[in-house]
Amino acid sequence: MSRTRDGDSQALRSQLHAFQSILALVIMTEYWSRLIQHWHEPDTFLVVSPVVITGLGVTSLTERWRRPAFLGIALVVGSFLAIVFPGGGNHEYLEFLLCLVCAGLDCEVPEERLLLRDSVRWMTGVILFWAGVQKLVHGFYFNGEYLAYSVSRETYASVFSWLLPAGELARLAALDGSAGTGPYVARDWLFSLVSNLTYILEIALAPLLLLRVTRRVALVGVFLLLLGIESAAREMFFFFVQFNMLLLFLDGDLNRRLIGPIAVLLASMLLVRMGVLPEVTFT
Amino acid sequence: MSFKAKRALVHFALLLLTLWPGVHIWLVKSYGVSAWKLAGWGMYAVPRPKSIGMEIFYRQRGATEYQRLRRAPEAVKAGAKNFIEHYRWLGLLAGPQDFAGKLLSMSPDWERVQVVLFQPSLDRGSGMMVMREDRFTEPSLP
Repeated sequence: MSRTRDGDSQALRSQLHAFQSILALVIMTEYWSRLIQHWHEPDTFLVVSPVVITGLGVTSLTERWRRPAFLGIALVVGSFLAIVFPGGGNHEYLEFLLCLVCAGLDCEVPEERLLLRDSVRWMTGVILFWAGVQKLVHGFYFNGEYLAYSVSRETYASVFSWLLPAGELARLAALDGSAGTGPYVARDWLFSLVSNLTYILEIALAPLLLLRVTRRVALVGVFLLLLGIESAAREMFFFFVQFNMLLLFLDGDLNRRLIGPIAVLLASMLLVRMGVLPEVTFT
Repeated sequence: MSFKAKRALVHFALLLLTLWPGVHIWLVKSYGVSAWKLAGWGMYAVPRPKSIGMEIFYRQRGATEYQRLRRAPEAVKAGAKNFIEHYRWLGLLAGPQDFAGKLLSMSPDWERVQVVLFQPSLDRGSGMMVMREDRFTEPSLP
């Protein structure tokens, strides 16, 4: 019994190390991507931060310096949030918090690694739940208003082309969001259904994700939902941060085997930013 | 730090993280703070306005009427851009004092300034874009 528990604990240790590696990779890529994007208007922080984060990210691979390295990354991300306040993205707050947790809790101590895993799981559920509640209380999903408004963005239009009649899609795509335009409502049952399902699923899946018996089904649901949302929104850094968190709901260390493919995808994003690969819209 | 202390600290932080979006929703509803930012997880919940406009009015000492500032100096433009960015995400919580103070110090004959910001906002009832207007007056006391 104790051997099994120890084996599980070692698997969790490996899983958490992979989680931390992916987190560091995502943040590194994001800061390099930002530098490439704003290369024509560089400032000291913009140039120095990717170099520092890369150094810290590499350092975080060592057992001895992992936690100080994450504290360092948290300081850089925190500084960025302070500089751009109040314009920092939600995923940057999330990265900051995750780095703090990784800095504060030691993966080499069995009880701390459990606390680390459970904290990340709880954060995943909280974000999903409130994302749904926000959509519900602001009320722009009941008649598909938010999605109709978003059709003017090319990435949304391509996703919704299979949901809306061509005429309605063209009408919404032509609206520019200025005062007096509209109505931003699509009276199509399928469009309305998708719109309402978005927040219903977010709210419903969050507790199901946290319960052991429903976790696997909920995990598949959340992954598909996230994929659906990001196929239109293209907030790829948020996607990778959340995807990395979702992988901690699995029992094994599948995430270790995904480090390579994720690194390749992140590198591809940098190559897109550099203009080496064809342009793909993402933020 | 002992594990017990660490656990208590982590649980307290998670409690704050769990409760904060509720406060965030209240700020959005009451002060026009953007749902998109500040870790309230309200991204994609409301349309994000594509543009924000600003007009500046001033009242000279002894005058009763406000006049519109027609040509803004470069220093004012930079301050305006910064204030618009704060207003974009903080709504009515964006403090105009610094920007207004700069305007008043640049023009000693001005007694008060009014900064009017407007942005397209989606009206839920009609589904139409309407213009939302917010007015800041400095100094705010009569």
